[in-house]
Amino acid sequence: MHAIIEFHNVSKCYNSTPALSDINLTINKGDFVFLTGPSGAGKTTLLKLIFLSERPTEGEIIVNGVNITRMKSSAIPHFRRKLGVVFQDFKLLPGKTVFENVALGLEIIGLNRKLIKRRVWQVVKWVGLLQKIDSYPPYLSGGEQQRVAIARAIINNPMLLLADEPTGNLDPGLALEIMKLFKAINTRGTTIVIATHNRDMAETFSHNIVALSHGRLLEHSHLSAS
Amino acid sequence: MFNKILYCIKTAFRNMRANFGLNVLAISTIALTFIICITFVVVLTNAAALKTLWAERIQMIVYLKRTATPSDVERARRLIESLPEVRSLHFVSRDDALQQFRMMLQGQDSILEGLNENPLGHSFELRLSPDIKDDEQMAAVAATLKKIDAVDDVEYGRAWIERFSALFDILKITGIVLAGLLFLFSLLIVNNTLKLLLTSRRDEIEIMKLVGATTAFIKTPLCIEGMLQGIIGVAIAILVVSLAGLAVREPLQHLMALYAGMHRLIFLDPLSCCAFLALGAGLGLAGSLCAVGGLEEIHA
Repeated sequence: MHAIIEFHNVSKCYNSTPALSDINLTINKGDFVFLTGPSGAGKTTLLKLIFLSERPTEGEIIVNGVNITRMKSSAIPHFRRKLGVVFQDFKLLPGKTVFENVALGLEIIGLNRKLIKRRVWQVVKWVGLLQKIDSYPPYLSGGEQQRVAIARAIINNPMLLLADEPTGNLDPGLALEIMKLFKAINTRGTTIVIATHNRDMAETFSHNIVALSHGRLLEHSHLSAS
Repeated sequence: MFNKILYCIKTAFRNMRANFGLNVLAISTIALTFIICITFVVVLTNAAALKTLWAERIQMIVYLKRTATPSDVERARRLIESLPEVRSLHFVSRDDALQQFRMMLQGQDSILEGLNENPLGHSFELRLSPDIKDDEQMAAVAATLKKIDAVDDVEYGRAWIERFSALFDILKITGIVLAGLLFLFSLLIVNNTLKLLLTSRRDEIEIMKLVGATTAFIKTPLCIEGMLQGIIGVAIAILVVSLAGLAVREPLQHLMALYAGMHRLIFLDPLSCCAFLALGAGLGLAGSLCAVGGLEEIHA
């Protein structure tokens, strides 16, 4: 198995307060990993270090064979195009339609309209929102908005999908649907890392679980599938 | 690349529509600034044309000494004609001059009754080359003429031209200072408008950065927006000044022809319009470039 994410002795401090301490972690290509732990455990910080929203204070991070620890700021946009990121608050643009929100990732790489249209339709259909393609996010339910966010995250066929509490704002039924969607994406070969404080849900899906507490790695277990 | 540019232009137009009020404010400020500036330029251009016209029409009169003999007069004529600054000259004999004087004093002939002999001397009326436009050049020609032996005095209405030149210079300096201040004012307004827009789009920019948009991709629509504000503002200003010009053209032209001998007023030509539009675009671009500096602070 090839490693897609490697953390070597990674620490992150905010104003001398440690958020992550001495993390050593390897995630392989195609894995479906849950980062669990209580609030303040360092789950979000760990994800931020992967998509370079933050830089580590110490240690090295390697993503898909590239040491991103000291990656130039100008290279970050190109690096991010290979990732997909999903947030608890969806981070959709309220003034843009579902189509436009999803198309954003393709607009920035300068794809022509025809291809953008085809690709967006495919993905929006896949997440089950084709009938809402011209709707604006404020008129969608939480579950629908998260589907749009997922569609936007996978529009570029990313090698890695990161999700920070993606079901935190959803009721259990919708959360389950969203998890199924992530699983389906994973079966297509995309590595998925989901941060959640909900250990039960992580265990329900029985994949790799990385447990954090107070910025330290408690365990990295591979549970058997249920 | 073409698709990216197209996207940026479309985004700029869409953003302008979405933030209509702020854009109206910025465009109005630019339009007002340029209405004042363009009006000033039109006034200055006409004043400069008037100055040139008057300088061209002003005659220089060279008075010869009363003691000048016909040979002195002939020598003076040759010397004056040899000057490159002199376009033409007309000799006025002392008798002709007295006759002209008498004609001017018609009805008051008694003033000249006591004169036993003609007190006037011969003179030359000179028209100068069109290259001689300002009072400094005229003073130099007058100084050369005064060096000729037979010449008594040279007159050319210097004080009048100097006064008009001084007025023109004040007008020009005031125009430049005013334009500079107004441009700065516009720049600040465009800058602040775009900073407000930037703040209102903070989330959008953060999301764009998250999905991998480069800074240039985010900045370009904002710069286009700034340029569009400048171009639209200037276009409105040109339209307003042109319409106002059309309204006053006839009576103003009549007035200028009557009192200043100027038969054709100068208004904005297409080249000047293009220059003003380019200036407006540059102003908008400068304002937006200052504003987008704050983009780096938006973290994703």
